[in-house]
Amino acid sequence: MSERSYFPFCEIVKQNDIKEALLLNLINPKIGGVLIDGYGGSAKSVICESLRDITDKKIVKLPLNISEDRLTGSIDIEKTMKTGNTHLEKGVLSSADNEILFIDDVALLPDNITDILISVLSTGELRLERDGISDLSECRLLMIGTMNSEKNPLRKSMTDYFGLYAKVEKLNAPQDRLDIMRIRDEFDRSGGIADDELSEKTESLRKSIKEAQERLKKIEINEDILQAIVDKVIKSNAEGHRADLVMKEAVKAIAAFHERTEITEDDIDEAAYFVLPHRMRPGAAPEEEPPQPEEEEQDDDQEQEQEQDEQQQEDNDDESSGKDEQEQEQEPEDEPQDDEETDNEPDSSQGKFKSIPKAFETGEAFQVMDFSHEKDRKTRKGSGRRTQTKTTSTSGRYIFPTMNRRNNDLALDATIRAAAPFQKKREDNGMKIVIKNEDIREKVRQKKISNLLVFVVDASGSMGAVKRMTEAKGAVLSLLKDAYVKRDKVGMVTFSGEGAQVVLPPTRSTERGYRLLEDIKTGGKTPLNAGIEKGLRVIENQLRQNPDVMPLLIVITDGRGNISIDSSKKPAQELMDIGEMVSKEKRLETMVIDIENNSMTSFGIAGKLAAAMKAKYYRLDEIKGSNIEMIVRREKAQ
Amino acid sequence: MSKRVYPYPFTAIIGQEDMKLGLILNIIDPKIGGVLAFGEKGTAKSTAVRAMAGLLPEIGTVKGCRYGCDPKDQSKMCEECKEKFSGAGVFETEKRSMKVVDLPVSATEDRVVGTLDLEEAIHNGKKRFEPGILADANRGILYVDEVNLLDDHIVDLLLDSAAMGVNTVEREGISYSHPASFILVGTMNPEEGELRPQLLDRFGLSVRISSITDPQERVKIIKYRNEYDADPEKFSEKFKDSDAELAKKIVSARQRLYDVEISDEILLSIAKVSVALEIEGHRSDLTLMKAARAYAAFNEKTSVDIEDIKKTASLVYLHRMRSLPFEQAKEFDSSVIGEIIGAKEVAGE
Repeated sequence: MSERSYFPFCEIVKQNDIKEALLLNLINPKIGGVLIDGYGGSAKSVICESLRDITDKKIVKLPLNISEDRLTGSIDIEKTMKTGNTHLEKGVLSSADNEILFIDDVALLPDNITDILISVLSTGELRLERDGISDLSECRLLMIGTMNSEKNPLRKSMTDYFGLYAKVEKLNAPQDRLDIMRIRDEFDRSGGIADDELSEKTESLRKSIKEAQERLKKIEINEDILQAIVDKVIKSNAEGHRADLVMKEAVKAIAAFHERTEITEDDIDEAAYFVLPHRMRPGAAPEEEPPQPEEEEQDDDQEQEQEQDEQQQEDNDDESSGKDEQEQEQEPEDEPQDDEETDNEPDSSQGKFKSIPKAFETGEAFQVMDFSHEKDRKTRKGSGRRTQTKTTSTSGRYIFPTMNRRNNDLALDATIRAAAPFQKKREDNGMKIVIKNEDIREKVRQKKISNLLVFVVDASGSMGAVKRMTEAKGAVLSLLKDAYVKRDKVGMVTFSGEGAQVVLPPTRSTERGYRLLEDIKTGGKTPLNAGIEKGLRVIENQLRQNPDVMPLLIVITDGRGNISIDSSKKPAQELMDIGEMVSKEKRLETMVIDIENNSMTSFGIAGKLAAAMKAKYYRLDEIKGSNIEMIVRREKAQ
Repeated sequence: MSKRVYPYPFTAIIGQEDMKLGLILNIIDPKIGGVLAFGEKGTAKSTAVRAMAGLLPEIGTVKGCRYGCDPKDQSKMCEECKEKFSGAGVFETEKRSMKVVDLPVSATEDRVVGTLDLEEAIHNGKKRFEPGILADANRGILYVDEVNLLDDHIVDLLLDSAAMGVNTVEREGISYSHPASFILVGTMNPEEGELRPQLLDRFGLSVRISSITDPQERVKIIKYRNEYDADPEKFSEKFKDSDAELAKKIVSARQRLYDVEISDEILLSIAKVSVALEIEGHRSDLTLMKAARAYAAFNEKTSVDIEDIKKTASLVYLHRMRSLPFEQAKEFDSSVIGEIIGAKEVAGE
């Protein structure tokens, strides 16, 4: 037992939901995996690793550093060079076929990897077209993932592919915690909790799983049960039809788990407890829901509730979410905003965002639309989740090979192609393909990086009118939260009275932005010109320090600038001059968010400013995620 | 190369007691999970970490192993060592000091996790894994200065191996895993951006470092520094004995560590503190238990008492007080510990 490097399954204290969800999957792999959600340090990963104790399936770990070629499989360098024929080397997905795929912190996977996973999960097959290899194989994944939805929510299109959902149980009883400390310490000290007693427990659990697997084969689902399942799912307002199918498999596994071959109503409730939480679209009356605590599923639900709230009249949820999914598969840059953590439930927002009633309160946060610095041809360093760019790093999607040697990121397919014509003339070195340094091609890759968002916020007296500042702050907060998820750098300039100040020099700490936001006071004149000029300067400085930055200047104003920097100029004229200056800085993109009241008459100064800066122009309500159709409509009209 | 480098002696660092304690506790029990030092620039954060190298004990390794595997612990061996072991049953071993390995903020992912050995691949058609920084740091200390400025992608990679003590590489035709358990030591200046919560939680301990305000102490710091800069060798010599004594104390604490007893009562008070402070997860419980035990061992005690808890609790809780993004951080107040534990004692009477 001293060789054990993972914790024994049977010794894990409590967390029965997670254990049951995992066992159900071992009993019936058709369920399609578990998504385990909860805070860090709660043994999520430990439990998954410990599954080795009770199943003969392989636990194939998908590390966050995985590259696409290792995920899907790719050209086998050794064999190809030895034999001169292309050989496929299987990837992690192929080795996980019919085994267990374990993804720790699944929400942290790079988008290009998640995209591939989704396409495999949705078709059940792995289609390979890369590096001169074309291949198609079956790939049935039983996927176990962990995440902490409070800190890093997972893309909604991905959550649906996890059959079950299990939430970490908070263990506050001192005795439980003591047990955990004791047992973990014992494990850490000796590298094992070696005991015959332990293997006895494990053996008996293994045996019950096998028995349940046998029992499962005898379980029939009749019409009535199907009807009950469908009713349950419809009532829960879960998205799509996958819930029905998973419910069917889960109900069978649950009956088998409870040593029965007949399905009871309780089994259906129990299945719903695991199957529905991460698929629920709010709106359905949850009165009749299973007694288990549905409220726990905060993030997904809230996101959805949000969407629902915002588009109560136009109920096209189905369409739009379906579309999201498709878009994701094809174009990773079109990431839907579902990812954002948005809390607009009053009760939770009170706890999380205490508004200090000085200055104006910060309005409620909402989900913002997709926005980003446009893609260009420059190659950059960095990472993040906002804009797709060519990168010098060795992670990201391989888009084409290059002769430029930069980072030893070997593109074998292109290298072999380059070497091929010279093979006859080259001296034999035991390889079928002889490669010289001049043949080497490297990969040009593409990945997402963050943006620099510089907010220029109007804090002038006019913003005090009709709750404008509250709304403006709400907008900034929403953008900050989006920036947190996309890992952008943020900076903030405010202008009021006689001038503009940089209240937040560019930083990765979006939270500092949030704290400062609370304190912004309104009053005085509107030195809009000075504000924009300052914002521009902040960005220029950043560009000087790091030319790879992708800056977005976001001006939030009602446009009623009434002070010029140079007193000899008229404010309005100077504003247009500055606007033009901004438009000449090609590396920078701008957005104007017009806080002026939401009437059709508001296409005023802010609009003109936007035109001068060649900026994108939005009215406040248009930056909300669910209003995208509206913007599309308007942009078409223009 | 002939000139030896003399790091600044650990015992010549003035003040910064928490930082020093945090480092020492981690050397005594590497499972504590590292230290994160918050503080302004120029507060001897890096000096302390580099000075620590002089205190590190020797460890036994499998001779020639690229990961410095422990010949006594099969569960954490790399594939090559396992193979060797199952063949021969014994290893040639060698002793070396625990290492401090730097992870520069600009490091690229292939250097961190390791990559395909390109030369070997194209000239000999062999896939060979070229180990990276994580391999080097196995069983040692991984030091990240300005850890909050680390590229997100690299943070994710660190999280992966910090969690399991294993670096699993699936990239560029390489499919490989090797042991990578290290003591993560980081420094950061919070003004330059915060650390991702997942990584924050991985640090066992944290300390806040501020400038020393006592004028006399400050003068002493300048004097020491001048002396060191003028003649590092001579300066090191001066503190050789005190450093050696401390190193000895650490080695002896390491040996006695698991003989130190922890009563249920102590563990229950740890649990109570964590629950009262609304700390998520169990990492804080485990860390406090280990830190208090290491502290007791360091002070040559045979069992952990409340004082050990009080002394080490602030290092455990300082960075765990806030849980959600955009939530106001609660400040950790060490008197809380006394209150919570005290309340229990009253209740018990």
